[in-house]
This record gives sequence, C-alpha cells and structure tokens, in this order.
Amino acid sequence: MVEQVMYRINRKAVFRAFLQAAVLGLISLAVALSANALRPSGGIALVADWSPQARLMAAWGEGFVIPLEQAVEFYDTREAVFVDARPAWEYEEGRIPGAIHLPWQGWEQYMAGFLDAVPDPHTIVIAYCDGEACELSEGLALLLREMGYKNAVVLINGMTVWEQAGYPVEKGPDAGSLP
Amino acid sequence: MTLLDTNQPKGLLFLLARLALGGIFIYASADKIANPADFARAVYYYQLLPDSLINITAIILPWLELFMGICIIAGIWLPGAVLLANVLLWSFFTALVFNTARGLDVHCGCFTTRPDPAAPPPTLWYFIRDPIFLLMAGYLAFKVYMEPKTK
Repeated sequence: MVEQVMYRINRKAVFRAFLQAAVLGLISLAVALSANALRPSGGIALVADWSPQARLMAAWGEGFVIPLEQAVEFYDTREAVFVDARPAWEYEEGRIPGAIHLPWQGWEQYMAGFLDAVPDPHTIVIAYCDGEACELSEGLALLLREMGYKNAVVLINGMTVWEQAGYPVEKGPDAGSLP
Repeated sequence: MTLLDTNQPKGLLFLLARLALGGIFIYASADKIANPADFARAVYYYQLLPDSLINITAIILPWLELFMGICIIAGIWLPGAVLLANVLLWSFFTALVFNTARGLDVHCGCFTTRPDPAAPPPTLWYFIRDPIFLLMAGYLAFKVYMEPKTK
C-alpha cells in the first residue's frame, strides 16, 4: 500500500502571511523613502511628469523634441529631412511622404544610404516612430547627434499625430531606402 | 509574531528553492536600488501605471524585493515573504502577458535597468523564465501554507 498524505491549509500561516506582508511592505516603504531622500543627488522625485515631452526634454534638453506644427512647417518648406525609425513593414504601411527609412533596429545596414542622401550634418533631421512610448526615434536621434547631425530631433508619436492631423501619408516600398 | 518559526517546513528541496528564489530577488534588487531613475524609466515603458505612481513604485519595489529575498533565504517571516513573492511574480507575469498581447515589446527591467536599446527584448526567454520563478514560488507557498493532515 502506498501511504497517501493529505494536506490542509494552515490557517495560522495564512493569517501570519498577511500580517507579515503588511509589515514588510511598511518597512520597505520607510527604508525606501529614507534612502531616496538621503541620496547625495537628492533622490528622484516621488511624483514626476512622465509625458513624452517632459521625459525627453529632461533627458536630452529643450531642443530635442519638435512640436508637430514646427515639423509641418519644415515639411512644407522642405527645410528638414524626415527619418522613419520603424521596421520595414511599418514604413511600407504608411510613412510621412519623402521620409528616409533608417530603422533603429539594424541601422548599420541603412546608414550608408542615409549619409548619401543627407551629406550635410547641419540638416534638420526629424526622427519619428509610432506610439507615445516608442523609443526607436529617440535612439536614432541620439545616434545621429553623436554622428555629428546636431539638429537631429524627435517628433513624438510621429506617425499617429501626423495622420491624426490629416497630413498626407505615403505607402509602399521605397527603392531609395533599401540597404 | 515570532521571527524564526520553529515549526517551519524542512527538506533539502525546500531549502534549495528558498536559496534560489531569495537569491534571485536580492540580485534583482541591486541594480534597481543603485539606479532608481533608470528603473523608473523601465517602469514607465511598461505603460501600465498612471504617471503619478511610476516613481514611487520605482523607489519602493527594489527595497521590497531585497527584504523579501533576505527573509526567504534566512527563513524569517516566511509566510509573509512568500505571499509577497507570489503576488509580485504574478503581477510581473500578468504585465508581461498583457503587454505582449497588446503588441508592446518592452525590456522587462527585471535584472538590469539599462538594457541595450538596439537589441530587441528577449520576450520568448521571459516567457520561459517567469514560469520557472512562479513554479518555485508556488512550491514555497505550498510548503508554507499547507500542512499534512493528521488522521
């Protein structure tokens, strides 16, 4: 015969669990807040503005983010070059007309094409992707700045705000963007 | 409420699971405690919490993980620490499933607050790793909250 062991809930342990978890939470809260306040840097703010604009400006300075109206103006005057930081399928599904494809993932393959198309490092380069939290354009703009394109900026949530404002969208593969 | 429970479960597997899970939590807390601003960013990228709760979560969570990990390894307040471990791990896993389902591929920010932004997040690996953690935490919960029934 195999001996069968039956189990039952240990009510005392469960009761203790909630009590101890609450105390552990309070201890963590107290230590965490003290440690944060005592940091040499003064710690991080308890509540911060996490809007994409505030986040990018805090990280990279005022000029890092371009408002849509400004971007549209540069588009109309052909003063800026738009670069699409998204993967190929999204680029082909719809992009800002004339945007150069420079996907953040795998940019090495596309960079030569970009450098040919935009030889002047003083050019205003507007990087965009899609979604408020999209990091692709941010990474790309930083990379371009490192490469000497000091006027590289980010249009936050670019594709969405562009489409919502009713500006034209270009579709299909673009031979010029192929690596 | 005594610190060290003399009636707590025994066994080599139980000890190993405690060492592993406690160690994981302590290890996970270190980089986050060191870089709160980067961790806050990782929390932000999950796109789950309201903006007002992001920083406070980033401040408290790592310390909670640290104390929990210490308790689980040392065998102090096991019921409470194991409860928290299960709640946290299920929250992380739910967030992972939810974000994957809505097509948001985020770096988990679990063990490093500064992932390589050019490398895509190893989401498949997260889906293998997290259930292993859940299994360990579930096993600890079984050992801590269940007792053999005496006939």
